Amino acid sequence: MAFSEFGDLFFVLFQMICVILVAAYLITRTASFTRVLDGLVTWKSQAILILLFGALSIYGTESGITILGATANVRDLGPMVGGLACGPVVGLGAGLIGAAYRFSLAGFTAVPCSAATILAGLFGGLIFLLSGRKFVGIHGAVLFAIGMEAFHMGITLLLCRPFDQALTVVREVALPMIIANAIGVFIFALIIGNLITERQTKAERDAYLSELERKKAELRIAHDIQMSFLPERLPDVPGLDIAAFSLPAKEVGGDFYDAIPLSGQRIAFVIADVAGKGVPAALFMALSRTVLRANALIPRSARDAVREANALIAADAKSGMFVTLFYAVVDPVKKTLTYVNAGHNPPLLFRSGSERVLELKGTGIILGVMPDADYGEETLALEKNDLVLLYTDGVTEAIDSHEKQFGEQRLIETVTGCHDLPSREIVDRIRRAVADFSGDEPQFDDQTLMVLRVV
Amino acid sequence: MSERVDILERRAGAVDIIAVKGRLDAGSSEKAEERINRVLDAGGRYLLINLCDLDYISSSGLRVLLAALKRLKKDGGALRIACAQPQILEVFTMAGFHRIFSLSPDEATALAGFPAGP
Repeated sequence: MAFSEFGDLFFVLFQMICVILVAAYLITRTASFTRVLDGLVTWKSQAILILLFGALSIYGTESGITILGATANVRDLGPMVGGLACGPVVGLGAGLIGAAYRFSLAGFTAVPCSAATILAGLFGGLIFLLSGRKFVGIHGAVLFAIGMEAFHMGITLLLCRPFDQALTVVREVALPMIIANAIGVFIFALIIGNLITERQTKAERDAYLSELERKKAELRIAHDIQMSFLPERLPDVPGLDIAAFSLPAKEVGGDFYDAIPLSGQRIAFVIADVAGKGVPAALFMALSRTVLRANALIPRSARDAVREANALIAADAKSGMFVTLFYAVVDPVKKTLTYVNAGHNPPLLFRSGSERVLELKGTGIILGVMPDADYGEETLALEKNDLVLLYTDGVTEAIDSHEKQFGEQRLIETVTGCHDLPSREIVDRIRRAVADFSGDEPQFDDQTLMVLRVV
Repeated sequence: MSERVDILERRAGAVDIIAVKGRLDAGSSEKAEERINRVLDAGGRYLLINLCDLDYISSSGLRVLLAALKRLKKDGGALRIACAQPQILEVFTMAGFHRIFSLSPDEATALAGFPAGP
């Protein structure tokens, strides 16, 4: 072969590659193609793809260089890719179109060339089926193209007579055809591979975003449930100055406080912490609060109210849900406070004129774990300027940038020396102290506070 | 957030031993829960939780232990806690956990307490 022929060959090959690139890009961007990639095979999309890959096959015939009546061409490319990427129907359909066109041109190799084109589509489709109705990948596709073209040469030698002429043709066109088809399939495979990855990434991103959206919505719902079960305002109780505050964390939820007016001017105060997060914890909080309210309103002792509430809550507690709760009934006439502490962090009692701080310690097990649990109760006499601080562990567990905890000692120090301030002011001081302490550290748990001051 | 809790797993016969070290609070108990659930998902029925090196536990940590206990009780398994430090025992007592959990002073005693034996 002379140098100019090599040059021609290279130029034609280059031209072909350009056309294949454009065709590959356009075909893979059609809705029909992406639908087939998604496994949604319809007759309409298959028909469109058959026409597109068939047209590519015709182009492959037309763009070739004729050598001794046989053409070095990429006719098999369209059917091969159609079969590999879209299955046997598309492969075979495109193959038939390409073959029909080739057959109409007649010539010495018309029969083997037409047959090879049909088989190229069929084999491509079989590989698609063998790969589990998926595109086989770049390596597989290119190997198939090489093998297919070698096979094409083989049947030419087998079917064309005289053999000597067939051998001359094959010798001339075998290498350029194998290379051209391999390059063409490689280009397609590359673009299809990219498209598949791109679509996977997009699908994963979409799934991630919708999951994120769902989580956000869940947190919002949990937050709304929780907030809607906190009292809008605290009742006015003669002889008591009351203030409360609750700051839900982003994810961990379930703190609540309550003030329930009882008969004879008495009032029940509640602070509680549901262990758990999200909507389940918020619903458990709503359940606990409602059950406790209902039981508080029946005339009975504080311990009986808590015992009954526990029996009902334990019957509903699933998967380790529980609630720590401090329940206190204040009688402003008798000036007493009767409390039940069901595993809640001990509230602090600051006595007027005393440096000592008393802890109102546990009198029973957390609610929700033992249906038949019994609870004790304690009664204290209240004096003017006594202060009871109820809080949840989110307050004392707030951490600073060194992961040190705010702790009970800091809480006591914040309140000591300012018991005679209004409750609201004391709550604000604690809030500020905790916020200053934790700085930019994220809040892991709800922070809830309640201050009762005897005036 | 740095790691505040460290969890080590090993086996002694039919008993899965999980040692929880550090702090079990709102920020770290999810990790502990995942690890315990993984052991239970794998079919673990006898669980020994070693708290020798646990410095702190909050209500979130208690919830993790309670969830494991409930799950094991339902499946006919058993959970024992070994070697809880005084400050941990105080929280257990406050919550009333000493009434629902089997607490042992050390791992050997806890192991001996399992019905199947180690």
